[in-house]
Amino acid sequence: MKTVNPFYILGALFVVFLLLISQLSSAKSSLETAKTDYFVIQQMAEYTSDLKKNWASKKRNKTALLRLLNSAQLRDSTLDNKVKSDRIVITSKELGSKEATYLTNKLLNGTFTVLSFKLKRLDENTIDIKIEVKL
Amino acid sequence: MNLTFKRSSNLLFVEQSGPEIEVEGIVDIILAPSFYWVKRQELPVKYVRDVKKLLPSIFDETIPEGKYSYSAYKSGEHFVMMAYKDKEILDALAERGLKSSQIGKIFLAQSEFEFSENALLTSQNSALAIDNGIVVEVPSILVPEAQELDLKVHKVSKHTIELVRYAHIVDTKSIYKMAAIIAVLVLLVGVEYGMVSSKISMFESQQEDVFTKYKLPSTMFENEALLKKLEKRFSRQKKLRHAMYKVYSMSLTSDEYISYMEKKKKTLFVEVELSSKSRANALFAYLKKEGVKLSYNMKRNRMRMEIAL
Repeated sequence: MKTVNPFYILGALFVVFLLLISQLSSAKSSLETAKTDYFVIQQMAEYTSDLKKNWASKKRNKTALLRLLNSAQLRDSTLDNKVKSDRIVITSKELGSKEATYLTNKLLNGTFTVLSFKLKRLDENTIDIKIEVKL
Repeated sequence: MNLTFKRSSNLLFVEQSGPEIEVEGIVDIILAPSFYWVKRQELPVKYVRDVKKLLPSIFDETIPEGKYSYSAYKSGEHFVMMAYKDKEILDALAERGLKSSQIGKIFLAQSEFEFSENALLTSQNSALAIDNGIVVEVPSILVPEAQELDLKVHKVSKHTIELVRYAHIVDTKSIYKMAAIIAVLVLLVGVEYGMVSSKISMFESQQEDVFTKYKLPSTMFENEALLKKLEKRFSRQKKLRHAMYKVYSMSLTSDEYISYMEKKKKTLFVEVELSSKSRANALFAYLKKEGVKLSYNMKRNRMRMEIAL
């Protein structure tokens, strides 16, 4: 009678089975959470990276701005630009309205961070302009 | 003299009825013939293992119906076969005061006294007699020559039985089969658990790699702060573009024009030269309808707008 009752073995196995099922269920739930977290983080990282690339890339902004200011449409204008550590200040006391429209359109349609600007109409064809763009 | 049971240092002869037995520690027991059914016969098989398969059919219809456990051993040319009910024996033992935990080996009187030359006196009123190799319980009065059973000098055989409390519900084999099935299920669930755990670890480690992949700060906290900052910047620039687009979309007459525009922090200042003061209301209504938050004042025909960004 020292032998282990087989019912005990069966019972013990059943208990282990139930515990494992419970653990598995909890692990599956954790897996879903881990998956969701991963995809949320992935999306957030992609979005942050895109925003950073478009709106906070100093090198990219500087290159794009200088290319714009040296474009054929603006090369011969009276624009004066000062490159500072964190911004470019574009000024002109008498910019042609055509060039002014071109410049503002390009700035506003691009992903430049316009810190401030001032446009003052001098006459029908001339505009006093000052624009600060963040790098 | 009470001979309900005889005891050596750890061996008891137990009958179905009698006074309560008091023992200390674990004892081996010999069960009286009243606990089991026995058959002794020659069979056309060689080994006990072959007989064991036939036991239920050998006893079928010769003993009362019920769920029996069987035991057999070979004695010379004969096979000795026993049928017994585990639960009934255990219940009877319990009634006599013997718990399962107190019982060591269990022997049957048949295997222990089969070769006894004399009848054995087990109590004042009963004795064990051997009839054609079968150990039977008889009133002691029928065997006056019976000798007193002395377990101190008795050498036990190697034939023992095991009792299972629930053998009457389901046999041990079925229990082990069920246990095997559950063990396989445990194994499968265990393997799946391992796989799920490894996937969790994989996703957790990938989470850490995501920020590195996109060249972002390493912690979630830093990334949330960065995202908030960038979203704020993006939102303001979007508002600025929306407001300017709506201002440029105002339908002005040929003698009307925008004379001044300035962005300072969160405000856009716009001055428009109008043909008449009354035009201001129309432009204000248009911009408001387009979702631009503004206020304005007039200085002669000049409309000065303050647009919140």
